[in-house]
Parts: sequence; C-alpha cells; structure tokens
Amino acid sequence: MAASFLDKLSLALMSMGDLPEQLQPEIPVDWLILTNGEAEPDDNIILFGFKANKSIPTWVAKVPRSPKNAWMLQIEYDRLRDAWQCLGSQAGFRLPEPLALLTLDTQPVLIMSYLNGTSLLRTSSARFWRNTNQIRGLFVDAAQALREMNEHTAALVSQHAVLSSFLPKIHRFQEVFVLSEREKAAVNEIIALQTVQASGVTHKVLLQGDFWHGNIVRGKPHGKLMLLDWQYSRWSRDVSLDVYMFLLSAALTAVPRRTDEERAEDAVKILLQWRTEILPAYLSAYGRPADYGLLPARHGLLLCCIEKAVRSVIDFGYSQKGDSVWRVLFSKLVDLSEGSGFYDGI
Amino acid sequence: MSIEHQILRAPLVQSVDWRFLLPLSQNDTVLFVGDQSNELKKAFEELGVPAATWPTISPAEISSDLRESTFNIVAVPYGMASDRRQGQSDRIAIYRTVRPLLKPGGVLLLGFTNVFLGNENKIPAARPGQIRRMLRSAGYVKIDFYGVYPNLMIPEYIFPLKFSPFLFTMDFHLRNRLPGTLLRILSNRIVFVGISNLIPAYFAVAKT
Repeated sequence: MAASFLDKLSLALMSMGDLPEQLQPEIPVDWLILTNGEAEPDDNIILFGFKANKSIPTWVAKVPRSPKNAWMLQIEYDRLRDAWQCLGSQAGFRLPEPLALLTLDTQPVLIMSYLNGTSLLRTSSARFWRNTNQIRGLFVDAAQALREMNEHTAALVSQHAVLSSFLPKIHRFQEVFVLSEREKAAVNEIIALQTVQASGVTHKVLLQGDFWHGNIVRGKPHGKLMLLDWQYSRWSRDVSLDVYMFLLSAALTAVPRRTDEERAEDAVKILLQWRTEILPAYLSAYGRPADYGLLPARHGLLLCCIEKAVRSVIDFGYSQKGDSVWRVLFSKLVDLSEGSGFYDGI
Repeated sequence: MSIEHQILRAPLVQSVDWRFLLPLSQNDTVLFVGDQSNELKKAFEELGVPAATWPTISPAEISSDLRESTFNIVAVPYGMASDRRQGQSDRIAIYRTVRPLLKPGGVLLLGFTNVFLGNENKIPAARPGQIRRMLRSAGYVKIDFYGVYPNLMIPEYIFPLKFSPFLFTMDFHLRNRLPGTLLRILSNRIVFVGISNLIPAYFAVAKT
C-alpha cells in the first residue's frame, strides 16, 4: 500500500532509535499542516505532529515548498545543533531540539521538538503596543534572553575561521537600489566601521538571524523566552543584526499596515517615542559585549535594513512581500536629522 | 478582486500543499479532473511531478487516451465545478468513472466546501457524510477526511478531523481573536462534534 508523505514522516519518527522518552512516537501520529496559504512559494510549510489524545504537539516538521530550498533546512539543522551543544542543559529551555534532517522521496524535511508556549506575536496585539510598561518589559526580557544566548555561544575566533560577513549583502544593496549621496555615505561608514571593529574582536557568536518577537515563544511552564526559526542563523563576530532587528521589527509591527512610505515614516516616529525610555532600557539590558562586536545604533539599525531589503533577492532571486519597507526605512533612518538627537549616546 | 479569485484563475505552488496528504512519489502520475486542471498541472510540473488533465467533468466525455490503472492520484482539489447543477447520481457517476483509472493503491483526492457556504465559485457544497456515502456507492472503501481553513484555494490549515489537532488548530488561530473563556468553552469534545461540521471546506482522500 502506497504511503502518504505524512505516513512516511510518522514512519521516519518511528525509526529514530535515539529519541528522548518524551519525544518517542506512538502510532498513529496525527499531523496538522500549517500552510500559510498566502505565503511565498519559497517559504516553508510547518507540520505539527500529535501523539494520540494529546492536545499539544510533540514534534514540528519543516518542509520547504520547493525542494530546491533544502539548503535553508540544512542551515537551521546545523546551527541548532551548534546552539544545543553550546547551551548544554539550558538548551531545552531556549530552543527546539533538532531531531533529524531527512529526505522523504525528493522532499527535504527538518524534524524538531515542539516548543510549548505562547508566541509573543499572539500576545502582542494592537493594544499591547500602546502600553509603555508592557513594551519595556518585553524588550528587557528579549534583550536579556538574547545576551544570555550570545554569552553561551561566544567562542574564540580561530585564525582561519570563515565567518559570515555583511559585506556581500551591503554590496548587493548597492547594486539593487539607487542610493542618494547621503545613503552612499552611510553605507561606506558601515563598511569602514565593520572593518575596524572586526580587527579588535576576539570571539564569534551564533546569530539567530531573524530575531523578532514573531520568532519568540514564552515557554510553559518556565516562562523563559524561547527562540524559533533558525534558518538565517550563522556564526558572526558582530551581534548588531539580532540586537537591532528586534527594535525595528517591533516598531514596524506597532504601526498600521499602510504604504511602505507611511509605515516606515510611522515606525521612525515610534522609535523616536521609544528613544527616551524603552531604547535605553533595551540596550542597557543587553549590555555592551567586550569580546564580540555591537555597532552603534545608527549603523546597526541601517545594517538591519540592508540585510532585510536584500535577503530574499540574494536567497531566491526576487523580493518577497514586505521587503521593500526595509529599503524605505533605511532611507528614513539615514535622513533622521542630527538635531533630533536620536543617535546621541547609543 | 480577492486573492481567492486570483488563485482560482491561476493556482500557484502555494495552493497545492494538499499534496502532502497523498501517497505521491517520484515518477508517480497524477490526473487532474475538472476546473483549473491545466493550471494545477503546471503547478505540479514545477514541483517535478508529471500530470495529465481531464478538464471536463462529464463521464460521457472521458478522453479515450485515459486508460485503466494509469494514475497513482486522481485529484479534484477544487471539487467538481460545473455550470449546471449536479445531482448525487451525476457525482457518483464521475467518482465511479475515475476509479478504474487509478493504479492499485492509488487515491482520489476530492475537495468540497461545506453546505453553509453554498455553491460559491461553482464548487459543489456537501457534508462529509454525504460525500462518504457517494464515494462508497462509487466503490471507494477507505475514506479519510481533513478539515480545511479558510478555503480550498489558499488553505492556511489542513488538519485531520480528530479532537486534539482540531483543538490545537482552533486555539492557534483564535487565541488572539476570542476571549480566553469563550475559547475554553469551545474546547471540549461535545462542542468539537458540532464545530467539526461547520468547517468551511474539506478534503476527502479515498482509496479503492
């Protein structure tokens, strides 16, 4: 009898002999397919696997819609394994456990443990973004969780280590977009600063690569923040991407979804509102790393915009829905007047 | 124009995620029947799976090129769309006509919307029980149903009609939309039996 992909997935779980007891399957396994129907053709489909009569999934399987995107799963699997090794006994409180990377027929699949908790995306409704205390609480929690993760993964850079560099993304940004003179100058400042900074850095850390509240779960019952979606993860000398992406993504989420121009404009206004209390609290909770790099806010924020504006172009050859707002935001952040004092001291 | 209508015109790779319900292997052959067959064929070919089409849904017009025991899958994911109203006997005739085209172990995938949605976009509506009876009459033995939300063209969730996955899906989708107390009231087995009949659309996977 021919078996469906879901049947084959269940059989693959059954054949894994070294699973921890709580992750060992019993047939039948029921699978819910979260297809995110309107998502892009190059996105992943998520399958939640349930043991009989359990209302919380035990496993998560990630399947790229297009098998050519198997490389995304490979990155996520490899980096999660790195992170599990670095975090040791703490890993289960912070990350999904990577169980297997398989190919079923021609379809690549990454199987992980399910993180039981509540997504911050779901707890941060429109009302949430109007409450300064709640925002500050979330930001401080996120900064502390990120720093803890970074400290756990920090390791001496060996002389011949090949680490991820932002330069190819910056060069692609320069190729894809027509930049004003001010923007060109800002890009050149980032390149210069990164080069100088890299020479003084002794450690590498594991970047999550897509650190925003949509990829964070508050775990049950321990209440710690747990991080999902490691497909953009990599080893780097600089943590700016994670530190500043959280801020920018939150600002873009806190404003109404209108045109890119209006959204970016509103996000900058939000950042200005957050400048007095929330930003300092967030940056102070993260702290200043001594062994790995963290760019000043102006350059770090711009670097995030660059990466997000060209990431899909580099990975898939085309821009995905939502990429263009990052290009506009880059422009707005470059143009933030020096008189605003926004970047002073951060 | 809604996204749903755009997808109806041109199914994309995003809209064929139901393929994971099927026993589909490399070099298997798929036959798409009815509305949108040609577009679905293109979407499958992009995924590297060869497919054939039978755009009409009239049993009398079945192509003479289609031979018995040819296909691993016969897929009608958007239902038997038709300009004229179809009775139960018409539908049973179609299911019966495609059955011999399946190889041993092959399956028929059938999408249909719930009766409370009516026959929007010409996709026939039915209750799972009605479809089960019709498929059995046409000679299918093992029939599994999956809930589909919000619609067949661009589903966000596809789930087995069992209590636990259904409960999780509902909680996942509604926890930010409904008060917690209401969600807790809805989360019991008795309510599940009622609500599972109110899901907007379904897929049936039928084996001979």
